[in-house]
Amino acid sequence: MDETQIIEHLKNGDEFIYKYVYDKYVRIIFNVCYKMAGSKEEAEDASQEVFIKVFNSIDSFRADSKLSTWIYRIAVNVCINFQRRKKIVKFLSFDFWEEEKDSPVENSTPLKSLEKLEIQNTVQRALNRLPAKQKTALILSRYEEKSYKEIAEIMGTSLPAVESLIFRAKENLAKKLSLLKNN
Amino acid sequence: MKHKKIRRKFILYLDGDLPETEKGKIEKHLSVCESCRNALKVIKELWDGEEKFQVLPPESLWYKLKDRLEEKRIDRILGLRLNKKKILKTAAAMVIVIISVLTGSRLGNALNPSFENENNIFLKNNITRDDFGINYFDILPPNSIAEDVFIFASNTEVNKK
Ligand SMILES: [Zn+2]
Repeated sequence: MDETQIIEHLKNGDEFIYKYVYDKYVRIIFNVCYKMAGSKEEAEDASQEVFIKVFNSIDSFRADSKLSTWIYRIAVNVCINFQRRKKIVKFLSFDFWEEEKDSPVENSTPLKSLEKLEIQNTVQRALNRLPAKQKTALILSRYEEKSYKEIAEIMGTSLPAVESLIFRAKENLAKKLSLLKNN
Repeated sequence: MKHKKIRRKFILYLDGDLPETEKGKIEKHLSVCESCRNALKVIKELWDGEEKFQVLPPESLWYKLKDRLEEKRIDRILGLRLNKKKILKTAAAMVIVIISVLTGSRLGNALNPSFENENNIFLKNNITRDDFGINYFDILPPNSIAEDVFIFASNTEVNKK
């Protein structure tokens, strides 16, 4: 089935298409959400939200972009909103302050070779501390291997803006990771 | 201070995103600063060592989504039921409008009895429509041959009178 057919079935609300779209895009969506959210539980919630948005707002899809680009855009927006909500909840429940103290760097020794899982967690936690847009651009570029042009399309911004976001994201991330050595 | 500035560029340096001049500056600093060399080692290990693995979504995800879609569908059906009320209200409003328009035109006729007057004049003076000849424009298509024939015939009749 090609994209136009999928879109048509979605617009008609044909029920069989939901499973088809799910199977086709679930890996992409789940992985983006996982990277953005940093936990599997949240990635599950976010993914469901993304699919429901895709199914319900297909009428607002304009054929000026690819369906997958549009789906990425929805995923990114849902995850940014989730993150924003989480931050507010965290702040209100004072978890925010605890988490800040518990930085990824403290309990690691710099010269000891790091375990794979530890590396994963450290990078993920550093990622989680980036501003939402920087994080999004970096994830799409590094983990989804999207070109800057595609990222600009997904994020609804310009090419130079994406370049600058990724540049700053890498600077910020290096700063957060290099705290390791200082402590 | 200088170390911090250098370290901020480490990921860009590792990814080859820096212009030659900046790359040169960093390498120059690394050659003299052991602490930054160690920091780079750690960041390299973290950044390059991180497996870019794909996570598999759990099987249960589809069923959870299906449930939520089902809920939405029920909501939509309930929504339709609410809409039925709206439709009934609109229909009632339309009936009222139609009735008032009809009554209005009747009232209008009663207040403006020119049509009736015309008929009364005809009746009072004992004139029928036949006295004016056949109203051929009502029956025949204009500019047709039949029309010409009719005009001729009626003219001769009127002339006879
Ligand atoms: Zn240094």
